[in-house]
Amino acid sequence: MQRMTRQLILSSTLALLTPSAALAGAVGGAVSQPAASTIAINSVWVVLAGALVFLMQAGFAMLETGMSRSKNAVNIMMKNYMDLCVGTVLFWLLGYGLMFGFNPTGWLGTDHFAPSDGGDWEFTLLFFHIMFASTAATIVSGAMAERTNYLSYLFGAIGITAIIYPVLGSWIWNSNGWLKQMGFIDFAGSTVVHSLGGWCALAGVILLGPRLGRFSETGTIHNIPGHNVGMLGLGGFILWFGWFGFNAGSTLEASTNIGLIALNTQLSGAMGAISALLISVVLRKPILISSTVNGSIAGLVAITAGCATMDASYAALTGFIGGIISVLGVQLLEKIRIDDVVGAISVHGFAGVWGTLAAGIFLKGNMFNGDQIIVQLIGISATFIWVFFAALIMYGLIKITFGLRVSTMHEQRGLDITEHGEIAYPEFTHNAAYKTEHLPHLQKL
Amino acid sequence: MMDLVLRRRAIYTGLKPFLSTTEMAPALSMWETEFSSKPAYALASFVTRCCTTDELRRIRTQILSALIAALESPESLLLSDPGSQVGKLTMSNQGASEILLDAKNSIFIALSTRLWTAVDEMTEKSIIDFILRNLAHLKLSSEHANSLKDWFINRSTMFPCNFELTTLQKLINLNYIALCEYYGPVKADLLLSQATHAVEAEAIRRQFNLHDLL
Repeated sequence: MQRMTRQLILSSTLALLTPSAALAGAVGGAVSQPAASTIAINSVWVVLAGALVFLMQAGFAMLETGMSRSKNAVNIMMKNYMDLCVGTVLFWLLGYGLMFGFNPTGWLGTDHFAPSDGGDWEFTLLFFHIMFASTAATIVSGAMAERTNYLSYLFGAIGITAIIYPVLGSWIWNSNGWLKQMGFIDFAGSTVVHSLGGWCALAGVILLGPRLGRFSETGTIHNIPGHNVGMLGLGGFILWFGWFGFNAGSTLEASTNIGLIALNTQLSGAMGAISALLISVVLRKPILISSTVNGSIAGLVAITAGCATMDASYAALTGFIGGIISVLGVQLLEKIRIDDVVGAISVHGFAGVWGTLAAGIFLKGNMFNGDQIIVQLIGISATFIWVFFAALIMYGLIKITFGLRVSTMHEQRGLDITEHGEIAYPEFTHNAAYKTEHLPHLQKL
Repeated sequence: MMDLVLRRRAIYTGLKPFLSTTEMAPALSMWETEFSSKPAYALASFVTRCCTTDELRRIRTQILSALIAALESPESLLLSDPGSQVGKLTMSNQGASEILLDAKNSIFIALSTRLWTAVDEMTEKSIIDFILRNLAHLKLSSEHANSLKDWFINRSTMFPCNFELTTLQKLINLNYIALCEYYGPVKADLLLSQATHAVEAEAIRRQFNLHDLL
């Protein structure tokens, strides 16, 4: 991502001069046109990496569905499916311009909206970044699962991909962005993508409130286990697989450091799972698959900011701490009665903060530099302030206008029936109150 | 919070030294319908309204202190439950003519009863208490609300009237919310499904679509 904005600006400028010049990349300070074969190879790599990031949507969908009750399985799948679709269109129409357009103030891009002409390389970047924007939006769906109005959720996804995400991205990844100018490090998006998703989720669940019966008036915490641990585990694997595209693809070129980035990603994810397991043992808690998978994802989130600028041993340490944060974060949220169905706030928000800080602390060749750490802290704080309050206002407006939460009758029936008129497993509902044959006769709510 | 029956016993114990039998029934009825779901400080206005004679008004503070003391007393010191007076007054006024319940109301009773028998006595009381606290959300007429309240408290009494389907649906939903509250949503789903299966045959026999209540 470090090189990306520079390349984008240069290629965009060249594209204005001559259409074929958009193929040009940037090498050092001098502008030269790399060989077509180099651009072709870079394009192949970035498009493939983008496709891997696309697969992360499937990973999120499976993980979140597995962690929810079967009566809401269709709803979670649909949320993940459709936030990708609306996110794609909105990021193309508005988000890309706000994020990577000409940015004289450092706060917002002002052109390149709905790009339909330009260079091949720009399309490659746009494709890659659409996947990132959709990832940021989809993080929210799991936290707000099982009680959110479907259309209201999609309006939220539109707000995230069209405004909240690109504005933050323009600060950090646009070459003129004010945080970028300060030297803020977030190579592949621990902050831009993951913390953003976590803070949007936090705003959403605060306004939504917990699911029925999750926290009783008497103080009892009722666990609501997911319905399919197989899906949860497979979702974890798919997410991890997609993460190689997420991090290594952020080089935006078929460069020689892809190996280190992929290795750091792998090490950090593995250490995250191991530390989540260990902390569960230390705290005498059961070793749950949900906390183990979440631990690995927290490790992956944490290394995303510094995967290209960290030695492997520090990547492992970053992941290890990320995994611990994910477990403790879930417990903290439970204590303060915040109902995050999949632990997204902890895994993406808290671990994203840690990863961004770690990218400054363990910066290769400049470790433990106080100035760099302060810059990282400024970026982390600015991100929280912008994202959390923007999301709070957005979901607040949605709540006032369309309604954010479904009624208690919807929660009783399950959102699959009330929002989609479907049952996820019609052949396995012998013991359920609602079966497929009842659907045509149910009273409209 | 104490359950409704226990609080009624406390109110009865507190009022007993001051009110005659004829004054007691309307006072208890008023407490149940208007004050049982209100916070403790509302007791002052309850006592004011109970003091209908000059003699009672003179000892108003004494009555209030007795009520507060009774509410704070251990269960063993309270008089036994006088039972709900709410429906009794209205029923006796109306001559308590027998009501022929339609299929939906009959199945509602069967389904509710099934849900309550599936839980222990303490939870059953808590669930009923929860429903009573939330009856106001149903926006029923005060007469219907009172008679329904009475039925929930003394379920052996006759079901007051044929309610609309939407009212019954909301009552089942309140029941479900209470189950979520006390057992968690996973067990609530299970109990609802078990109760549904148990009364399915009866619903078919009465040619009623059970899921209209759900």
